[in-house]
Amino acid sequence: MNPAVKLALSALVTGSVALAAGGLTYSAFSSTTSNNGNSLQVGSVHLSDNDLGSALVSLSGAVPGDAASGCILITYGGTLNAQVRLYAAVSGALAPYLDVKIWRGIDASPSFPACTGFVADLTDYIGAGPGVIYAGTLANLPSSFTSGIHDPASTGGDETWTTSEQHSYKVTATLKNDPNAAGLSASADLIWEARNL
Amino acid sequence: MAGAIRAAGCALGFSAVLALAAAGRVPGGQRALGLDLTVTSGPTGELGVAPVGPFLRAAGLQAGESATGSIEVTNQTGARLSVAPVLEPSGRALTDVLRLELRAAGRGVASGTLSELLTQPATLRLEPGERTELRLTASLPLNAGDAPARRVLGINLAWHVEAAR
Repeated sequence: MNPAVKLALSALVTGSVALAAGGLTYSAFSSTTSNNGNSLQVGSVHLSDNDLGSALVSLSGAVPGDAASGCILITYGGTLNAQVRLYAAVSGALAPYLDVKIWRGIDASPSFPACTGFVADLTDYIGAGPGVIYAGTLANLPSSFTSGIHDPASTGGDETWTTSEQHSYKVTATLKNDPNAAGLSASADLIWEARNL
Repeated sequence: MAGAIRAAGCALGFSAVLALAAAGRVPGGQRALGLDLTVTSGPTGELGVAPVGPFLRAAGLQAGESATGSIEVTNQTGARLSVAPVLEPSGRALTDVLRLELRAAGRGVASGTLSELLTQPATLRLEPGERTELRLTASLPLNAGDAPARRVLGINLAWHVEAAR
């Protein structure tokens, strides 16, 4: 082989091998930093609302056909993905005579208990209209997480709640036209419960 | 003869590689590594927050430097609220060095070192539906020296909210 060609080939081979190694070295961009005060945290599940302890809906001195509505914003502050269910602790003999309807939606300007900015979800979850997740009497609301109303996803199935997720709910209670309701009373706590997945 | 040519070729190849590597070298900087700071926040039931997540980020903050971030908070209840921002740092390093200033709609709400604000939380009042912008400025005083070097600090801005009396 011509000595000049041999020289060029040697240079080329050596250069190629060294460049490959150099490429690896320089593509691993290096820098150092220290990380202090490491902490280990357990994930959390936390729901909150905007009611400040006030009632969402109230009827007093009602006559048949009277109705009351209110909207509440539920916020998920946990770090673990969770599912949410709605149930109620109901008491009082009037409960079977109150029709309750609950919509799920969003509220661009929430101000408990006003529903000024409430817009129901478009999905017909239970065949009772867009956004409706419950339509029945107060007495028939589920009473535990197990039997609770699954918070629905618009695409079907249960909604997976993630950190800072918010949904608004509109609740309407209407007194039935039934003489047996006269003089009765009822109360209910609506409970949204989150459990991590 | 052949060995000498091969050696010369290798030397030439290495020289070429060294020249290329030197040309592609990332230039060294004079700037020291500083504090990487991130401040995040999220909503509560009573208080809406935008944006959710980080609203102040500073990479390599050094003595004499500051960084500012803004967040909008909204009273989502039907009552006047007393809102106390609660700072939750990821560590205790720099709590006596890092200075924070919180302003609401241009008005000073709180100012001091992180440790001072941890023990003396500020409060602001929000009417039902009221929305206001909070601006948080984080700064390192000139006398912080090397304390912020290579530090990483995260602060969660939480909220203690109650009906105002």
